[in-house]
Amino acid sequence: MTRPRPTPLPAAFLQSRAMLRPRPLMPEHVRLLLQALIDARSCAELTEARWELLLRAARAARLLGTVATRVEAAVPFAALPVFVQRHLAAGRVEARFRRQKTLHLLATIEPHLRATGARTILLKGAACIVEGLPAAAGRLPADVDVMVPRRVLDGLEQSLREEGWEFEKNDPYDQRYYRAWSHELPPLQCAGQALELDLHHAILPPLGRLRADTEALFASAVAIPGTPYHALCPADQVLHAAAHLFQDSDCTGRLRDLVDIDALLRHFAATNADFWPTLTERARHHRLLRPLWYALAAARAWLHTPLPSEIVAWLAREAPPRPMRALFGALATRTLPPLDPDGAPALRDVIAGKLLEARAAWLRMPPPLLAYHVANKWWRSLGSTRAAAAGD
Amino acid sequence: MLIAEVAPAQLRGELAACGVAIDCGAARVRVHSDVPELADLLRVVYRGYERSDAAGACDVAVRLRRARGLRRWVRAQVELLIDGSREMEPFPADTPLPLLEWGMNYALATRLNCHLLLHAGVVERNGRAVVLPAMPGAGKSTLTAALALGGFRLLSDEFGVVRFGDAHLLPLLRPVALKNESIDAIARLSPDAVIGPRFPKTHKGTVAHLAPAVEHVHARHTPAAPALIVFPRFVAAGGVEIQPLPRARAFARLAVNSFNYEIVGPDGFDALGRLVAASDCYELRYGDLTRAVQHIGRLLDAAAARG
Amino acid sequence: MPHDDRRYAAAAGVRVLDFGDEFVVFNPLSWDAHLLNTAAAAVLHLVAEAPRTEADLAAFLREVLRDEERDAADQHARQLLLELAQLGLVRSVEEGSGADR
Repeated sequence: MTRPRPTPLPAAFLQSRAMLRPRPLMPEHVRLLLQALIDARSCAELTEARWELLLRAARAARLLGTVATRVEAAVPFAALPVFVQRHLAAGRVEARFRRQKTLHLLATIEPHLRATGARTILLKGAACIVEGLPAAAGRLPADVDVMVPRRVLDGLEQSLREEGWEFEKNDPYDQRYYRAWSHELPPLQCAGQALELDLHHAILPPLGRLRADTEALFASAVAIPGTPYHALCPADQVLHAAAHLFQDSDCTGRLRDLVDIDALLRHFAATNADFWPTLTERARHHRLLRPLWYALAAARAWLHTPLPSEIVAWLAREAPPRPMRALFGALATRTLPPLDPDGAPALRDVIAGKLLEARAAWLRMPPPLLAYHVANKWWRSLGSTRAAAAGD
Repeated sequence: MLIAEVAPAQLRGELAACGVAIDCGAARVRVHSDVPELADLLRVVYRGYERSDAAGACDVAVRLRRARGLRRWVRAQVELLIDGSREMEPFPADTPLPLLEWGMNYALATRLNCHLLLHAGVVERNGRAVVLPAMPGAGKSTLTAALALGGFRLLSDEFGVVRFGDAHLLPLLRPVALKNESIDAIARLSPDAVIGPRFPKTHKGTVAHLAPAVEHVHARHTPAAPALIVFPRFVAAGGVEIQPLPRARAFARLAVNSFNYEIVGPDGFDALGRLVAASDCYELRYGDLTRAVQHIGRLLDAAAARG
Repeated sequence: MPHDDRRYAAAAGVRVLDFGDEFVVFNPLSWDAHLLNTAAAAVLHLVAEAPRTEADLAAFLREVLRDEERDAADQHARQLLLELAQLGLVRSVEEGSGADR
């Protein structure tokens, strides 16, 4: 039975239900950063003082590489002030480094991945880089994320460790936490590798309140031509980013993740004819409608991602209750952007960050496990404080 | 107007409000602080720098402030924010200048990836650079200071800033950090040298800062062409011993002793290659500063004559 | 020994600095710098000019090595290729397709 078509809503109502508004009085460094991301050509008009603030904020948000790429494509480089050229060049250099290190790491572990005989899915930055997506340009990944089926994970871990890969976190509690309750192993390091390797068997914690259909993720994965790897299908890539942004993270200074989502949406909308219907359909299947809602609403409000009218209508229809939206909007507003490079974080923003962190933990684990985890963290932090005090 | 000429109260006010911009050559740093003693310290060790327009664009802003909460009063500390974020451990409140200087080093080392940054002292004479890479126990800063006081122009005691492309050395001029016995050695070598107060309890021992000469401050936007690379090694009461070093070895040792060689990739490889190819490379063991300075002068003249 | 007919070429982006007796090479994948001696650098230079077989390289080495080492030219060629390949500086090239491995 088809659902009745919704009656058209007044524009004002649509706006309020379809957006997560940024705080009206936005700090200057945030405004500049968003403006540069949305329309890099506008940077040609900036004064030196504004440039300085923009560049320092971009670096703090780990978006300097992205800003550099967009500005250099829009504004003649030679016309820029010399100190601006310096920082854009630095951003470009840093992004190039991260890209090369990603490719180097993958080349090094490729024989191990092939040996599993299973489909290997690259996630997040690694996928964007190997696929050559526009979202990759200027990215600064901190690690390389790879997903394999659960059944081959132990063997893969074993063969990597024999090759010299080691866990950074060797604490038995952390090890147990990761293996039992998380969707990934603790990060792996290797001499000669600048980045860490995160091996996943799912994209969300298995005991959390939100879970994606891992089998569907693997089944719909798309082969990346010229490589032995797969990537999540376009809709799943967006959903992964959305889930990661607002659920599986603490949301502080994560503007760069929203920038990724915006870039993915723009690219897939332009290259895949049925991207939007597939997106909402997959979200329903994976039960990730709520994270998708927040991601689309935030991307539209902050980065002006163009959304087709049926999606805007969908946002209005599926909006969470008003108090939830208001609370979430306020929290996100305070914690998505980078800290003010000229100040210290306001107490309110710190609390907001902590609240979101708590929420992410709440979503990651059922209550009894959460209590244990929190108690354990607190106990161990007490231990380290005591040790530090003794050594003082 | 030079920083030394600004009235103390005025400087304190500016530090607390809009900040004071320090132009080091390859970068500009804005310093903010609510710690009153810092103004007096800056007036000594940054005496030759112009009090440049604080509103002019800077590459990084650092804020030195008294710690919050209990640590403001009990075993008082000062902390350093770099572009709003606290990335270093606080220091005891009676060592503000060492914290500022080390913090500025860290801030610059992470932000200037548009150049290759070697961990080296650099001086210049007649347009040609001497690069002194830092090895543990080498006495790099002491030797760099002695050269700066012995007729060479100081570019930096910490950063060898190598420009991509032509591999010229760019000044990143800051006070020279002297430690322990070096402080006396330099004071003896040059009684007119302006050295800031001693800070006895830092994690590197006693630290004091040598103010760069006014002429060197004026020249901080003038690059220098590569000519000589000297790996120094201080051996107390030893004579001067000079050994040529194969260029490939010099390359390897410089790459390993760099702040950002791994990050800059092919541009760094090319720039370092050009720097080494254009330079005579030596190891220098010395026990006496004056003689070391003389020998380096001769090596530089020889390199210039050849090149 | 089985005759290796494969051709080898330098990886794209390899850069070499000639410092006389020693050579410093840029590895375009790992961004490491490697120190090579004259023989290794010469072999790298040859495969950078054009893809070569192991036999080509052995012939070259036979000409430049000292008398007593000439007989070992085949072995040297094989060893050098192996090491350079392990470092990622050299790759074997498919005949005709020009594609990698």
